[in-house]
Amino acid sequence: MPVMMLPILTESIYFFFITHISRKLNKKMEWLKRPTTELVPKLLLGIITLSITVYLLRIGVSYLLDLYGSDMLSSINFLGNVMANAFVLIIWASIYFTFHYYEQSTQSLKYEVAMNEMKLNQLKAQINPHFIFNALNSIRALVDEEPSKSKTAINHLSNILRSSLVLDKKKLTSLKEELATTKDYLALESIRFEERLQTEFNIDPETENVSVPPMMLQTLVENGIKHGISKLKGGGRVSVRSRVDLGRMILEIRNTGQYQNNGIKGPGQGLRNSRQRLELIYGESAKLEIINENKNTVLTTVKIPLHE
Amino acid sequence: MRALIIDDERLARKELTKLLEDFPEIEILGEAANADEAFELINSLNPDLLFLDIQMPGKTGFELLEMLDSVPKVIFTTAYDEYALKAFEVNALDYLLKPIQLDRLNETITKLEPPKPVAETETEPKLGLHDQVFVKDGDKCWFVSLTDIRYFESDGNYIKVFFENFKPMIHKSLNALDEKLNDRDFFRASRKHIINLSWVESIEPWFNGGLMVKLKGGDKVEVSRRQAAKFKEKMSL
Repeated sequence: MPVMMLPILTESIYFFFITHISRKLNKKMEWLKRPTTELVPKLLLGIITLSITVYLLRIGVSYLLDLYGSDMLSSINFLGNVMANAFVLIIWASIYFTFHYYEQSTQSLKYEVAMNEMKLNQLKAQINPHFIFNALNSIRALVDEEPSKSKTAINHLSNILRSSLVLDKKKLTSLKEELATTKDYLALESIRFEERLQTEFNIDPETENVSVPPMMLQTLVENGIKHGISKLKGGGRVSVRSRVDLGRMILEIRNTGQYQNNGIKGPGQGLRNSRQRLELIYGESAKLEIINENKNTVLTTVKIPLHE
Repeated sequence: MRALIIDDERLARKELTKLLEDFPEIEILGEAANADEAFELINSLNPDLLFLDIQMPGKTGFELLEMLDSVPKVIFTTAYDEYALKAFEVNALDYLLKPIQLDRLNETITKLEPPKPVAETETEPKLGLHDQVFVKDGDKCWFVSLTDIRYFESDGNYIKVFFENFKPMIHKSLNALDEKLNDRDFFRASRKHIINLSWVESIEPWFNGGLMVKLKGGDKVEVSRRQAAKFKEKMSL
């Protein structure tokens, strides 16, 4: 038995060292990062060199162990040995490289996903502090004037704060929930603007369960108020309409005012953020457009695929 | 002290009025919901103090101040406006953040100096050394007391206002400004300059019968020949 085991043991030792060395070389020379056209010839050359090395080692060891026979040096034996060695090494190399390529690609995928997540978090709509403090100020005045209304207002405000805290952790929410937040927001702005702000909703029930980025509708409506209605002495109207068209949900937000796309600054932060969020979540299949529909109406259209 | 409240939100005006009930020294003359309304009221009522919101439909609070020749004391009221408040880093000015807190309001009102005697402003409608003007140049704003202004220099459709280390521009003609300023304190040195007489340090004869006036701080302003005669007459006993 020990005599039978000896060649197997010595063979294992050769291959162990050989593969270990080639792994070190691979790492040092960063072969994994090279293009395949460059890698394959180099790898083949390496494998042939190593196969010959193993053959020579084998002869040396046989000589030392007194197992040496003159037929070992024949060209047929040489070729056969080298080819067998090369075969083993090719199998080893393919397993090694396949495994590492796979690992590398999943890692870069994971990295990409993490980056997107981070970008999304940064882009998440933050509640505008100006709005919160103005709302609190109006509520304070309401406490004397209409206590019951001030209580409702506090509920609206806490709903919005809760949504913005909870939704911070979510990537998507249903349009239904988003509409509720938007309505809370508008209820508070109506207290501030009084008769200067009118609102209107026209929602297709089919769209209620469509997934949308949280706080995006609210941001777009807020934009319309901030840049449109709040600048007009007589105030104006905000309307939100949703419908289904060719497998996409079309969300239309109209507000009184004029959209001024000044060329230097480009679109404002709210719009830019919303656009980037849509792109990160849906890629090319979602769209956000803002135009002046007529002399005193701005139309913001969001198109989102019904299923992500 | 006679005050105006200027804010586009009715509830905000109401809340401030209520808070001010605790301060009998503040008499509220009226309220305005936008800059144009406020402008009319300020000109007709001549208040000593404005409580002024910055963001309003139409013109902003800053734009209102730019429209005024003489600016009363101003306390800004705003919900949250980093940009607007940053504008005032250059000179101390008070502002109240909404919702306004009683303690903070108390502090602000205590800090206000008593108004100048009303009689003076009524007999002398032109601007003198004790008046202040609002100057906005780009992102920066100043309330400048006329005492601190060394001279004005016309530059196209604008006037450069020289005070401290600043020389912001205001959109006005030098002729219009000259009419607003009282001639005891200010002198039209030439087509280009109006000088503050209290800053004059020395006077030297200059070419063509003109004069060269040296101001404290080192600025030199030339008085044209035509104005030199007037200047001599004015400065001699």
